[in-house]
Amino acid sequence: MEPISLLFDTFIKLMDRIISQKNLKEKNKQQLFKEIIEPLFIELQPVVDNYFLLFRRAKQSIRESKGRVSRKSIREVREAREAMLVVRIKVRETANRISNEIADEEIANFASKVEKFFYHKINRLRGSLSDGEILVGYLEEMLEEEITSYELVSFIDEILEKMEKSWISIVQSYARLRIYYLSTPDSVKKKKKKVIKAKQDPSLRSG
Amino acid sequence: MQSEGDLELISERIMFGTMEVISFLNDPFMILVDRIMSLKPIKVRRKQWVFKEIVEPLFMGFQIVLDNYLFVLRETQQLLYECNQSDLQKSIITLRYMREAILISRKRVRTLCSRVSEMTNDPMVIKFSNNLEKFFYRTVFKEVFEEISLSSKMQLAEVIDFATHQNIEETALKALCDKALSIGDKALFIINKDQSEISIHRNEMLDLRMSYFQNKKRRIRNNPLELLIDVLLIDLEYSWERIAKSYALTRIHCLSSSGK
Repeated sequence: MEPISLLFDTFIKLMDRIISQKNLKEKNKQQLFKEIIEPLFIELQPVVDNYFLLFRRAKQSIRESKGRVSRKSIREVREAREAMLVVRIKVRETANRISNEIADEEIANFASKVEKFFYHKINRLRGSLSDGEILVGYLEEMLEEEITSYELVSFIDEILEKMEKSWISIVQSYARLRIYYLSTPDSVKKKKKKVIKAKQDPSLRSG
Repeated sequence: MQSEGDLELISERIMFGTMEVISFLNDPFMILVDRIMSLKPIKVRRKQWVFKEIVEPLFMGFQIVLDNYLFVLRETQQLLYECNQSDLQKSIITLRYMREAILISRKRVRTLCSRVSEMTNDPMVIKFSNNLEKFFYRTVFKEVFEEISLSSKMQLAEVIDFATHQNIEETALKALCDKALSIGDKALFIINKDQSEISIHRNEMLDLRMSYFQNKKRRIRNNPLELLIDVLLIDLEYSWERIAKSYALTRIHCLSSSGK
């Protein structure tokens, strides 16, 4: 796996390029896919791998240490989370820019799914904290013996399951965008619009 | 509606341009397939290695092939929608060319899949390669002609060929159209277990049929053929979504774990 700093750096640079792009509104669907969606998806993948790895390593570490946790492992998780912080901020900024500038529901949906991967919340009691922050909090509580390793592993499993669903929905959204935006001749899109119009007009539904 | 000049251009592009594109775009994928097949069949490989050397390049390379097939099919669909018999003949030639291209590809993809199972026991990786193989071996129209061994594209070409040379009765065309729809329904149930998604796509297909019959007086000859292409496209899209989902799961399974 690539070094984290290089991996995040590439991804952040890409998002900066998307955010600073002019005339997003004027691009056609093929251009939007090739210049935004596809590179975003390609560069997102190693970041996602890394996020999964953060939680899986924490879980493995808890298991191997037989229920004990060291300050060193907490520091490692905290550092990894902090390295991810800029990525998360940039992801939100990019998603906002895409939603505001591109009047396209499917693309906005893709951007929103990417954002949700980094911002989903599963623990209502912990308010607006991110999963990484909660993990650090739990590890500290475990160090103080306020929670058991079983509770912490259950929490990590819950997060991993949610992340897996979120990642699959991103890939499915990307797959749909690819087949509808990249390989549809313009002439076919005109026809599809007519079909959509027919769908929306109840008078045309004769059974 | 396109002018005759536009149609001529599209036909020429299909006759010459797109054919070259198909060949050109299939080649890198086949080079990739050959490269993977030349890897030594050592069973004990790290998950990361299997993913980086096999799954990821196949997924990335396959997308270009997919784009190409979808583009040609949709353009053919558009020709069916707007063109006369001679244009239709040209689209048949394109479909035949596609069929030949896919026939060459599919055998190598099948060999590749058996080679992948020699390199790993990982069920997710094997499932991914099986899903890829299924893309090249789909037989959604087999019930129409009861020819199990034929690929769907080959059958589609035969259907179009048949329809353009025969004077088919309107009722027979309608029956074929309904048959295609019911096979499409069946295929959707087999392919995807997500009931809500099936229902969305089924409604889309019904809407398409409604839309075709509204215009039946103008272009009844082409209606079932267009619907057949729609069924084929939906089948292709599901096949692609299945590959994508399998890739997503394989990625997190292989890259986010430290084990073998």
